[in-house]
Amino acid sequence: MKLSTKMVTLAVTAFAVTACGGGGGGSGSAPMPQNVAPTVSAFASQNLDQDTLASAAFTVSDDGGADALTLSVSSSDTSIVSVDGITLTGSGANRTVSVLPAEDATGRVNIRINAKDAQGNVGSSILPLTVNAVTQSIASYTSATFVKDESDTPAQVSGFTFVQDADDDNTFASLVQ
Amino acid sequence: MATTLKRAVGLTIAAALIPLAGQASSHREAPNITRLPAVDSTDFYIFNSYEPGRAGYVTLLADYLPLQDAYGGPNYFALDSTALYEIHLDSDGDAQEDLTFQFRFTNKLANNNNGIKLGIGSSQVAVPLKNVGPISANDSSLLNFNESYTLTLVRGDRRKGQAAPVTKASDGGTMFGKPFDFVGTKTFASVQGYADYAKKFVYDVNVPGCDKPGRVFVGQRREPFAVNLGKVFDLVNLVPVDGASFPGGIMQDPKNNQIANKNITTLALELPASCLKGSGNGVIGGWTSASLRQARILNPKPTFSKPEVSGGPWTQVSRLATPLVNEVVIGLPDKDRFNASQPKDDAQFATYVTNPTLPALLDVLFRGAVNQTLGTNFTTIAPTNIPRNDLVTAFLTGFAGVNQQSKVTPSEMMRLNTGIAPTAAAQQSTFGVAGGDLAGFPNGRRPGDDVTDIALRVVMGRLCHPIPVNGTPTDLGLCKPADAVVGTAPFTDGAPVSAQDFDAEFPYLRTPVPGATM
Repeated sequence: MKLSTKMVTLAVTAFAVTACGGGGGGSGSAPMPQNVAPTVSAFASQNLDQDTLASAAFTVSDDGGADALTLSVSSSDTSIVSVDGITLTGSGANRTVSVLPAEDATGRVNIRINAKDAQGNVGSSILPLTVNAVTQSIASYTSATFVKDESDTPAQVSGFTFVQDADDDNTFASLVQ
Repeated sequence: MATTLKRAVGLTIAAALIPLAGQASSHREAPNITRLPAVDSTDFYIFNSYEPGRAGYVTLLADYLPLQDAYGGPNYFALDSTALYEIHLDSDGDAQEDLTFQFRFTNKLANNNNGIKLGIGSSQVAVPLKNVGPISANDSSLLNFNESYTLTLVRGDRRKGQAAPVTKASDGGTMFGKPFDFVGTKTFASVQGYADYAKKFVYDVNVPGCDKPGRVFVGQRREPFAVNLGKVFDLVNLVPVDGASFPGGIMQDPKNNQIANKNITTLALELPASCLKGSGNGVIGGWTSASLRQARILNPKPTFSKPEVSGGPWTQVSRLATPLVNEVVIGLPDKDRFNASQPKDDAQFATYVTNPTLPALLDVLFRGAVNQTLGTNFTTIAPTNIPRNDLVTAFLTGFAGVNQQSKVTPSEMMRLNTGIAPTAAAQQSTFGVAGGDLAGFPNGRRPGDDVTDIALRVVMGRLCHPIPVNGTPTDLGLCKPADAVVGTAPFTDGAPVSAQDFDAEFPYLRTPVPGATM
């Protein structure tokens, strides 16, 4: 598994919570509140076409406040989605993750969102993505391109996995002669 | 700072990782275009004509097909007959073309496209050469290969606008000839013989909508750009500060111009300024581009006239206005995309200008050596005014009062103020505006402007220091001297260029280097 992380600092001020260990304290003293790890809401699996952008809204929470959390991301397969292709936006409890797969990449990948509080407690959630190939016949694509007018907007090439129709010199013979 | 720099140049540049801004202006500057040399734009010039008697005209030069070795026979350097070569002008400042001049070429063999044949035995056999005897201004009958072209003016959108042919003033014809390349002095008798021959291909033209004729020429010329190409790419194998001012720096020497004996092919236009100014303030933005049809199929049984078939929409593969932008500003992953883009969409590249990498790389290369030699403790020699508004002004908006259009759309165009009178060749400053010559770069660009040195100095923060404007040191207010600790250093690649290296008449670029001499 290839794994890399990108720290995304979303809080300007660290919020410190002092926790008392030991689970309750001695007689005569009130129990100190237990620090709880942040939470990141669950994601549903997503399917997307190659070379397209996926985005998903999620929420974060923590007893120290959502604004104090530091979020980071990682990818289970950076050949499909690099950490540079993952963008976090939003603030407070409401956040959005946007994912742009690597050019021409297809396959399954898990995007992990981590939320870390000032005490170092970490909560996380995984966004499962399946990037699907969009196959395109070279012959039909080329034929369609040829009949376009020279003043038309050029056809897009990105976003397709081109399929070789036939591996011989005669494929386009009728167009040449 | 002058003292500081004077001491600095004596240092040994121990390590260098990247080229300075001195590589050829736009010669093979992006990965994809290296595969398509015939549509590779190399330099673009736009200036108020300084040929005597041509006041009120603007000259446009778009050079293509880089690094031609003159001896490159037997086929030499034809342009691409499947391509569309264009020069675009924006007169109102919206970064979209208002006028586009389109060149399309046709290549034909002699003898009705069958080629010149010789009787060998009982057979007539086609010859393998593009010429089979001398060629002169008055006799091209032994030329076996002819290039011609049409010129079309499109008003409005380059693909959807109103198109009309530019015609010969002499007879209204729409086909223009292109001279054969300078294969050598035996074919053309002499250098002067070629000059006389090529001059026949300068046409007076009627431009639709213009009340005065213009001129056009397309043909091979001597490479106008000057650059210390090899050393620059050899990990900056020189001390890039002017040795005349600072011992140890590189001396200005024409021998440092390693492409001096190369040729290029230029598309040259001279047009009345009154036809180009449109509704703006008289500042026009210009750039050149080349496009190919999107679909192409190679012919497995190629013939001279049909080595392939191509069709579909024009797809831009080359773009050029200001020199060096796609070389040292745009990042490698985006160079091909830049070549395919248009100025109106340049916001996508803005970070490369506001947060340039070149000064940071130069800092990596030179800061340690500078500090060691000078006893200074510069934390960086790269300009610190991020975002670099000085570069935005230089590359994307133009300078107010000089070459800024009334509507300012940040975009990469070469901007020319048609209202600033040209400077005669003998009086031109090779440093253009920075040299007190408002008729020069970056107010347009003339062949004699040393854009390599200018661009390098600007990138390293020259505009953060006062520059002479009409002889008076002037703070442009774009950044502060403290932002650029080496901003006044006379950076150079040591390859000089000046107006004296060119003709003082259209098309200004000189007769090409011959492929052979007697």
